[in-house]
Parts: sequence; C-alpha cells; structure tokens
Amino acid sequence: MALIDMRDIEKDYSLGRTTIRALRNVSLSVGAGEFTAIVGPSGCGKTTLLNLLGCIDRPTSGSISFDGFPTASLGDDAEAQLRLAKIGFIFQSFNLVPVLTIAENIEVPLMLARKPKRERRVRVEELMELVGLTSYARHKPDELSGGQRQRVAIARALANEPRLVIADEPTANLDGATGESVLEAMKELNEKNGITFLFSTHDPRVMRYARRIVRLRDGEIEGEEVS
Amino acid sequence: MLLKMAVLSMFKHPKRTILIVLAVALSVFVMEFVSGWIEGMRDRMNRQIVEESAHVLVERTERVDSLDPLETKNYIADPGSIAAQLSTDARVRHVERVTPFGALVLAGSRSLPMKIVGVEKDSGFFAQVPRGRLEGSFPPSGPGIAISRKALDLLGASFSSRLIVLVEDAYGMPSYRELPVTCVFATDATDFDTSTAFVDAGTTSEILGTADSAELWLRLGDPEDAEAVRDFALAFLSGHDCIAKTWKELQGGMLVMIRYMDLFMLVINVFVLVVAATVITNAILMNVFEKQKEYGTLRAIGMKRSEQAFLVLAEGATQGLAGAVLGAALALPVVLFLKANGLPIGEASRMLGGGDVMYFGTNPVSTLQNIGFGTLIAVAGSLYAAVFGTRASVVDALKNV
Repeated sequence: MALIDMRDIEKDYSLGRTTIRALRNVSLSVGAGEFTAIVGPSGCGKTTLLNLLGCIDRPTSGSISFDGFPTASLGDDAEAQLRLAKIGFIFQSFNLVPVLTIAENIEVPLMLARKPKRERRVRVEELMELVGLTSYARHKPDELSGGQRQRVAIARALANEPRLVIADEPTANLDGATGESVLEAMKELNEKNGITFLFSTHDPRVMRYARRIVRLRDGEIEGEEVS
Repeated sequence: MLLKMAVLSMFKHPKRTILIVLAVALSVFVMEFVSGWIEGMRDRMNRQIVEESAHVLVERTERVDSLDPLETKNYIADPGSIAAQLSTDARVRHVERVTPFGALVLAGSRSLPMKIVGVEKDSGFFAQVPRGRLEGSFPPSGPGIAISRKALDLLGASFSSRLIVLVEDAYGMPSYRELPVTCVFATDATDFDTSTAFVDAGTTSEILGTADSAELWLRLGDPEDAEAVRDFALAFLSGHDCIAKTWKELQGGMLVMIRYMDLFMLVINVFVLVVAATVITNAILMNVFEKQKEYGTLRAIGMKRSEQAFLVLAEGATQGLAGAVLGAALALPVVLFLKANGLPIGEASRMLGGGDVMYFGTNPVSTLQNIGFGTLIAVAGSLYAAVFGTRASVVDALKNV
C-alpha cells in the first residue's frame, strides 16, 4: 500500500475575480521509503503539490489518502495531529524560530506532541548528533550558517520520527557544496532509517540524488523517471 | 516552552513591546491614581461615619421637623434615664449626650456665628478634632472652649484669649458666658473649622439653663448591629417621644455617594480599558502580521490553532503583566505621597465630601485588582489579534499573506 496516494487532484486559487488552476488532474502515489524529487520550472505547481501531500492545504477536487486513510474527512486539529505525528517539513528558508536555541527549535515538535521532558532531551541530543550540530545546542539560528540551519530544520523535521519528510526546495538558499551536503544527509537518513523523502527542486545537480523524479509542467504531471 | 517563546518574542520587537508595556503602565497608573483618590474619599467617609459620629442617634421626635433643630424645647427631657437603659444592651459600647446649639461668638469688636457642641468629658466622637489638636486639650473640661485656629484668626484671638459666647437660653432669654480658649485645633475642612466649636456638658447646661440634652449618640462594638440596636431602642423610646436612627439612615447620602464612587471607578476602568486595548490590539496585530510565517511554520509542524492563540495571548499577558507592575510601581509613590500630604483641590474636594485637602488612600486589594485589570487589558487587546492570526490558513501564513 502506498504511503500517500492522490487521485484526480485539481487545485484552484482565486486572485480577485480570476481563478488560477495550479494543479490539473494530478494523480500520484508515493511508497514508503522513497526518495522522490518533484521537479519543474518556477510556477509549475511544485509547492502546491507538496502542500497537498503534506496536508497543509486541501484540494479543490480529488482525493488524498495518507496511510490508506482519506485526509478530507480530518478536522483542523486532527490534520495538525497527523502532521505532527507522521509528516516532517523542511523549508527553503529554514523557518526556524529565531528566539529559540537550536536545541529548543528541535524540541518544538516533541513538545507539541507532549513528550515527557526527559524523553525530549534524549531525542534532541540524538538528533543533534545525527546532523552533526551537538556543539551548537545553545546557539541561536542567526549564529549558524545556511547549511547548519538547514541541518537544524532536518533534525526538527525528524523529531517525531515521521513516516514522510517533505522538503520544499531545501537547497535553494544554499551554495552548491552546502546544498549537496544537506542532500547527502537526507539521502543517508533515507537509506539508513527508511524515512520517505519528497522534495521539490529545479536544480539539475540536486535531481541526481533522487531515485524517482516526477516532472511537473503547468500544473500537470509531465512524466516520471525512476533510477 | 510556548511561554518562553512568548516571553522572548517580546524582545524581538522592542519598540512595539515598549509601546504595549507603556500603554498598560499608563492605564494602571490612571486606575491606581483614581482608585487611590476614591479609596481616600471612602476612608474619609467611613471615618466620618464610623469614628466621628453616632452609630445610632436618639433625638426628640419633634426635632426632626423643627424649623430650628437647635431650639432647647426640642431637647430630650430625661436623657440620663434613656442613656442608662440603652447602656444595658451589650452591643452598645458607649452612650454620650451631645448638645449642639447656635451661638454668636465674640472677641472684642469681632463676632462669628457658630454651632457649639456640648460634649461630655470622655467624648468618644469628633475624632478629627483631637487628631488636629494644636494647643490645649480636647474635650474641654470645665469652663473653656475648643475652637479652631481659623475661627480664632477670624475673631482676632488666640489660645487663652477669652471669648464671649452669646445664646438664647431655655427660657428664650439672651444668655452669655465668657470662656477662655482651652483648646485650639485645625482640621482639613475650612467649613467645619469656621462653623464648629466645643464646650463641655457642664458649661452647656450653665449657658442654656437646662440639663436636657439635644441628642444621644451611641457607639457600638460593631456598627453593623445598628439596625438591631435601633429596634431595641425604639421598643422603649415611644413613651419618651423620641426616635432612633442608624448611621445608615443618617448618612444615607454619603453611602449612596460611596456606591456612586464604585460606579465612577468602573466607568473610568472601562474607558481606560477601551483606549488602552485599542492601542494594544493594533500593536499586537502588527506583531502577529510580522510573525505569520513563524506561526505558519509552527502550524505546519503540528501546532493547533488553539496553541497558536495561546502563544499570542501569552505574549500579550506577559507584556500586560510587565506594564501593570510598572504602572503600579510608578503610581504607588505618587499615591503614598498624596496619602501623606494630600492634594489641595479646595471646593471640589468639599463637594465630594472631603476637607480642603483630598487625602488619598491605599488598598493592597485594589492595587492587585488594578494589576490584574491591566493584564486583562493586554489579554483583551491580544484576543482579536489571536483570533485574527489563527484565521489564516497554514499556506497563507507560510506565504506571509
């Protein structure tokens, strides 16, 4: 069974009196343990697709199921709970909470999941070690480089041991070498821990890390490649 | 951690935080100032009711409707026996014969019409006079008059001067006595000082030519027993053609004023709430706008709308508490200064039941209430921002739309 399955998805946005169709008749299945890239030019609907897959947006029509469970029936809080427990997010501009330390940023999802303090501390230490930032625990995000911040974002995304990690252009704000090291880290986590990664990019250097590439153009799936 | 995020977020926008804290501080300052003022008035009124005058007053029935209540024909004929009977009630702590009468006080070529009050030598009332005593002793014992410094100045006399007290006696004839000034006092009320003087009960009988008394003043162990003691008194007073009134009946106007003061305080608080909450709502709304992306991120990683609202409200409450404590800390020295030295607002103060100077009062409960109210203002101001912030979808928040 696919981890996530979307059927006949259409997504419209209203801009004043104009309606823009961001996705047209998209059907996509993502299996557990995949390392998949959604690629395409700017404005082709990559972020919209990831938002729908990550359950932070709802389609205009069509159905999405996560782990075989239709997400359309979920209420606001249940949807938040699904994201908290099963989906991790990595954003293009890191989106760390600036007033919290690195360790606290990683701890936020654990705290939202109401994990006991001792358990949270142990998990934060594990994750910091995993992304190689143990010595930066008490630093604030603005004291770190872009690559280090994205590693913190990865650690935060993994905090509650999600089934799926969604990364929207995770390397767009990083230089080439740093971007590659972030992707290396993601790939390693995918291979070692079996975490499903879905990321968007329009950078050909990044695409080569993906085992499956889904090409989007003008809101439609243009094609797929599996290596 | 949510609370920590809320607290630390305050320092991210220091100017806005200062604006909110100052708005709350100013509101609490105003509330603390007004409540100090009202507390002072309330203290004064309570003092007047509980310390200065009778808890239960007994007087002749005719005197109530008399054109001249100070006329001796309206005095209680046998005050001693009534006083003795009233003293048998365990709730009555003290019964005193009080005899106010009209007189013209003369010193050389100057004169002053005054109300002279004949009091017993162990008088437990008129506490403001011994409190404001400048020379001599109060109440006067033997021949002598206790009079204010202001009245003496008007008469061109001083301590030990001899004043002539001219009255109409019990037989309707003019009568006078020359009395030395044995006590000089100064209260904070010009009206009282220039219109009231005191002599002892013996001197009163001598001048008026009667041993009768105008009023019997009762002090009770607990002023709240006044109704019961009045009923006890009324049971045997009908044969004496006298009536009894409680302090609540006597000071009805003042009690209504105290109630209106509470209403006035509430109106001021609501006004302050509306003004401050508007400023705070705008400032916190700006914060929420700027942090939409942060909130969007937190919602994306699993934060519920209610938790986001808590975050905004916690930030508002923290700023509110800081502002409220600051406002109270700034207001307290001012209120304490005005409690000790008073605020000379003259006629306005007299109209509000005070003396020439309005002394403020302090009440820890009302200070805590004001701090709570100040915090509440900020929470109320944050409420709209919190609701507004949570209305945005995660996607819109992430786009910072």
